[in-house]
Order: sequence, then structure tokens, then C-alpha cells
Amino acid sequence: MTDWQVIGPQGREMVARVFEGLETSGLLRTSLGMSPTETVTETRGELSSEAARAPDRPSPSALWAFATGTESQPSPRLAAALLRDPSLHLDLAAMLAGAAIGEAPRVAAAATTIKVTERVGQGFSLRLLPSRANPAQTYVLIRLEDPEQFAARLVAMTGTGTVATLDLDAAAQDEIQMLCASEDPIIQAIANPEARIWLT
Amino acid sequence: MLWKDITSEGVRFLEPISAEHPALSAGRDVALEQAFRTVADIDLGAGPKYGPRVMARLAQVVSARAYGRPLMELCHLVRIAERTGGRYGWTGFFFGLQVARATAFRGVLEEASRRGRGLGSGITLEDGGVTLNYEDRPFTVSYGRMPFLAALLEFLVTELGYQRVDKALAMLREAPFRLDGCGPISNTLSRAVYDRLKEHLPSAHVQRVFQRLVQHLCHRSGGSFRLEDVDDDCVLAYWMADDAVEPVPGADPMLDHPADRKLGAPDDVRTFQRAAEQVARFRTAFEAGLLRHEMDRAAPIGSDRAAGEIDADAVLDALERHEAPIDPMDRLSEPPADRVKFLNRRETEQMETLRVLGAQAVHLPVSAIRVDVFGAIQRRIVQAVRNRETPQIIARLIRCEDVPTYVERLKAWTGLEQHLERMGLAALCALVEGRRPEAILEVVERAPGFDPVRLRAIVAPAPDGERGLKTVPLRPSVLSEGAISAMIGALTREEIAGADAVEVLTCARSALRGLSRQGFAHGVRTQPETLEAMATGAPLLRHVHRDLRKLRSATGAGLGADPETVFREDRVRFARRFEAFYGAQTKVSVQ
Repeated sequence: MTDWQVIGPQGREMVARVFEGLETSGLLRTSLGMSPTETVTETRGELSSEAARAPDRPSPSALWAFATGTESQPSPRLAAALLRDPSLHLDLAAMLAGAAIGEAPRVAAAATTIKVTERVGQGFSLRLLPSRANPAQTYVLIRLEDPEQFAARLVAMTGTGTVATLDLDAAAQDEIQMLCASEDPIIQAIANPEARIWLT
Repeated sequence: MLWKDITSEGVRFLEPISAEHPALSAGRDVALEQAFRTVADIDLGAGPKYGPRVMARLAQVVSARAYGRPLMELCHLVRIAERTGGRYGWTGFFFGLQVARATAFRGVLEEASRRGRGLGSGITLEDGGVTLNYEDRPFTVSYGRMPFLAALLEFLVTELGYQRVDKALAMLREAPFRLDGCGPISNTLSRAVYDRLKEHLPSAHVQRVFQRLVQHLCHRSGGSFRLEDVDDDCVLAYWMADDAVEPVPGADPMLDHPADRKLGAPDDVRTFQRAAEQVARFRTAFEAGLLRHEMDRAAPIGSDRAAGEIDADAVLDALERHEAPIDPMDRLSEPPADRVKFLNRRETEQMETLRVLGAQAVHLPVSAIRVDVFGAIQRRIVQAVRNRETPQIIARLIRCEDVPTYVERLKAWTGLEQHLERMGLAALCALVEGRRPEAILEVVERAPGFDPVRLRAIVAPAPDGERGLKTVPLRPSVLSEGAISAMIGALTREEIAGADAVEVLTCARSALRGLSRQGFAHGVRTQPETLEAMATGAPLLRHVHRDLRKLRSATGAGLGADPETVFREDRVRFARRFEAFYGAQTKVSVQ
């Protein structure tokens, strides 16, 4: 009769691996409330309550929904996660690059503290022009390289992960003109030399 | 890997378990759990993107570390996605869908094909999925598999980052359009996710549980314990072991209620249900170890198997076997079956013990009924203690004064079996009314003497060469609706279908009569969506019925000739144990 000793180290290793798999699978299901209620109350002490306290990470689908404009503004959860997790900047930037019709990188001398008033990116150029009539307002002037292209939204992300967006009007005479408050986060972000900009 | 240090006497860890370990391990476990929850919580405005069964499958694959084969399938699906995702490529295909259902993927692919973006050369849309016609061998990704593969990709990107995954998948564009062309890319991803997850798996928590179980078995049955030793008595002894009462390292001393402190402890087996669940899982694992040993013995000397590598797919197979009884119950409560109220909440709860013990329920039948009876009362005690109910209420619960006896529970299980049978038959009747071909398959399963080949005579006489053919094509693409309707109509004709089939249909009509469950009302039950629910639900109900019947039968045998005496002894035993756990703070004594 085969027993615990006879099955040898490899057999016991298999036992351990399967047990580990069953317990881990059970704990993962428990964390979603998919397992028996009693197990939930008993195991949450280590896993789920810790996870509940841990900061949320937005899903790839949520990032993509924002990158493509399905969600025009970053949700509070996404905005907070971007400030917290630099690796998310890279993911969102890569998704925005895939979804955008134009992209402007950081300004070359990113270390400068001077505010930027012009951006030249792939597929478009952008200017910030203070309003003569009202100094508290600034024009955002965007010219698309391909006038047949349609841009619905401008997204800017600073080096620290602050994201600002601007829904765009249709172009008039090959130029999109938007008037914003000079203190608007989108103006601040465009003027930030470390910010990257996308048109989607 | 820490598991390498398993000895024949039990488990010895590379490092001693200290009070700091739980916190450290908790941090690491949380990272894995959090990534999993990130995927599970996705809701883009149309409800959860991934259903519970997809998430259960993902949990199995991640826990078994068996990502190799699914990642290979995923690479094939990415090839399809790149052809259909427009300018957004694979990213748009997977992340652009609001809800990941087989029908949604099918819709996207059919729409892409109609628009003329086409699936291009080498890729064909078919009834059940999409086929890549590689020159070396075709490969089909079924629509039903796509939601799981999408969830796996979502998990992968959450763990590894979008850029890293995108970079790996971009290599598919340059890879040869062959079945083996995906190999290097899926291997790259597999290695990356393995390296990432090895930080989390196995967790110290799981190792401690395993260590305690093996030590318990060694202590109880000796270092040469066998599968037969992992039985109902083992479960009870494991739960009754003294160390369950002792303070557990890692418990939060700041919690002001002793019961809470124990319940929140990392390795707590204070609840009988948890103890039974752990032993059941160990039993399945032991079976897998025995199987592995048998295969090693059968393998020729010098084979790869001798190298000692654990096959992750074999681990996954064991997980699937263990959790197989849970799957039909889950499927009954999700689309499309959930359009019909086959089971209400109370009925589902009555089968909780099957969920807890999985495939081992029939091997631990007395534990199953103990979970059902005393597990339930322990839940109430825990809740009462947490809610700071009066000592009188808690005392009454601790003394197990209101629990049903084993005989009463067995009767309740019998009643539930009858209900499952009635629901299944009623669903069959609806399928007959709706002229759905699945009705014939159900009759095949339920009427042993029924030969479906005889129905072919209704449609067209079989050529001589096909006499005795055992397959009857039922797909609408093969048979017209009229032909299927004629075949189903013939089910009631004894001279064609036989007496067994006619009797099954008589029972089905009787089951439907007077049934007032959601989905069975006249005019509702033959609606296309309801019929889809019936067609999905009917075989699932049969499976659940079969599992419950086997469990009831095994439990009856396990309890022996005098179940009332077993119950009385258990009630005293459990009441004493509950008193030890919860009596001190509530000043309850069972004496």
C-alpha cells in the first residue's frame, strides 16, 4: 500500500504544490466573496482586510477607457493612482500613444523652470496665447498637420502624474481655438516643460 | 523553493517561522490578491467585465502556476485581435469591450468580418470560434474561451505592466504564421509572469497550514500515513487538536474581543468548516501525489519525469477535479441560466457543504453533514459574538440546542434532490415545448432505453450503410428547424421513441404542472432567452442532483445504522468545543 513515505520527495512535492494551489485559489475566490461565507470571516484577517486597506490600482481596461476618451476625465481613483505609482505613468503614456492622433514629448530642457508657451509634436503644434481682452484667460491654439484628422480631446500628463484634459471644439480654418482660464490645470500642465501631451 | 524541504516526517522550513512572518507574508499575498481583485472589479458601466466563473478559472490557473498553455492560446487570440482591432490592435480588441462574454467577442469578430476589415487570409470565422489555418496545423480559439483569455491578459498587464506585455506581443507581427510561431513569445511571457508570481507563491500562510496538517497526520497515524487515514475522524481530530485553542502568532492583540482575535488569526482552524476544507484539499493533493508516484514508476528510466519537475498542468488538473462539483452550481447562478430561478438562496445554501469539500465530499461524508449542521451553528455563534448578543442567546447557540439532527438533514437533502429532479424535468418539458434540440439530448441522458438513432427515420430514412450510426446531428445548420421539430414531436410516440422516453416526458409534463418559479410561467418559458437558460440549466441540474445524491448516500452509509446516536455524541462534542472557543467571555458552560 502506497503511503506518505513511499511516494518519495517528488510525490510529496506534488502534494504540496496541489495543496498550495487549492488553498491559494480558495483564498483568491474568498477575497471576491465567491467562497463559503465562513471562510471569508476566518481568512480575511490576513488577506482581504490587508488588501482592502491597500491602495487601488486601476485596471488596464480602465486606463484604456481613459486613453481612448470613453472616459473623458480621469476618475478620482485613476488620478490618485497616477500620483502614487510612477509605473502607471508609463502604462498610460503607452496607451495614449496608441490611441492618439498626435503626441508631443517633454520639452528638451525639461529641467528648466520656465513656462512653455509652444509645443511641437508629432502631428500637431500648439501655442498658448494670453488673451489681450482678459489677462486671466489664455487661448490654446492647435494646428493639425493633417487637416483631415479630427481631434476631440487634449490630454496632458506632468512628470508627477497629474493629468489634465480639455475637450476640443471643431477646427476653424485649420486651427482649433479654445479659451481657458489661465489658472486652469490644463494650461498649467501644457506650460509645464515636463508634461507630455496627446491629442485623441 | 521552500517546498523542496519537505521531509518524510513532515515539513521543515528553511527558516524558522517567527512572529514577523505573518506580516511579511501578508504583504506579499496582498499584492497577488490585489492584482486579482483589480481584474475582478473591472466595471466599465455595464456590470462586472468578467463573470465569476471566469475569475474562478483565473484563480485556478494562477494558483497552479499553469500559465504556459493558456498563454500560448492567448498569443493565437492576439493574432486574431491584431487583424480585427482596427488601429488600436490587440489593445482595443481586449480592453475596449465593456463586458467580456463569448457572445460579445463573437459579435466583435463577426462585425469586423462584415465590415471587410476581414479576418484576412489564414483566419476563418466558424460556428464555435475562430480558426487560424496555419500551414503546419490549424488552431481554433473558441468563443467560450475568449473571456478567460482576456481576463488572463488583464491580469498579465496588471502584474507586468502594459509596456512590457505590448513589447512581447509586438513580436508576434514578425513571427512566422505557424502554430509553433507563437512559442517563443508565450514562453517569454510565461517566464516573466512566473518570475513575478514566485515572489507571492507559495505564501508563508499556506505553508504553515500544510505543515500543521502533515504534522497532525504524522502524529496521528505515523510517518507512513496513507490516503485512507485522511478521513472523517482525521478532520474531527484536526479540528479538536489543542493548538487550535492556543493563541496564534500574528493575531492582532489590539482587538478587544478574544473571539475576534482568534477569528482574525492567520492560520485559524477554529471553525470546523475551515478545518474540513483544509483536510479535503489535502486529500485531493495526496491523491495527486499518489498519481504522480504511479506515473513515475511507470515512466522509463531516464525520462524527463525522472528529473523531478512538477508539471503545472497536472497541478491544474487536480485543482479542476477538486472544484468540479462547484462549477455547475456557479453556472446555474450566472447568465444565461440565471434567467430561470432553478434554485433560490435557501436551496443554494443547503448545498454549501459541497462547495466546501468539493470532490472530497463523498470521501468525507460525515464531515460533510457536520459542516452542514454544526458549521452552520458555529457561523451563528461567531456572528452573535461579533454582534455582542446577550449571554443567553450565545449560550443557547453554544449548547447546540436548536440544531437539526442528522436524520432531519438527510431528509432535507432528499427533498432538495427531489426539487433538483423536478426542475430538471420541468426544464426538459419547456425545451420540448420550445422545440429545442437539447430536449433530445436530455431524453438520451434520462431514458436508458432510448435510442436517438430511431428519430432519424422521422427526418429521412438512413442509408443502409449508416445503420447503427450512433450520432444524430442536431445543429440547425445540419438539420432544418422543421426536421428538429418533427424529431422532438416523435419523442412522445412510443413506437418510435420507446417506452422509457415516453415515460420521461410524462414525468416532465407533470413536473412543469403547477410550477410557479421565475421563468416557468406560460408564455415566458418558450421565449428564446428563457429557452437558452433551460438548455444550459437542464444538464447542470442533472450534475448537481447526481453529486448531491452520491453525497447523501455516502453520508447515510458513513453514519451507520444509528445516526441519532452519532448526532447526540457529536452535539456534546461540538458544544464542548464551542464552549472552549467562545464560552469564557460569555460565561457559558455546557455542563
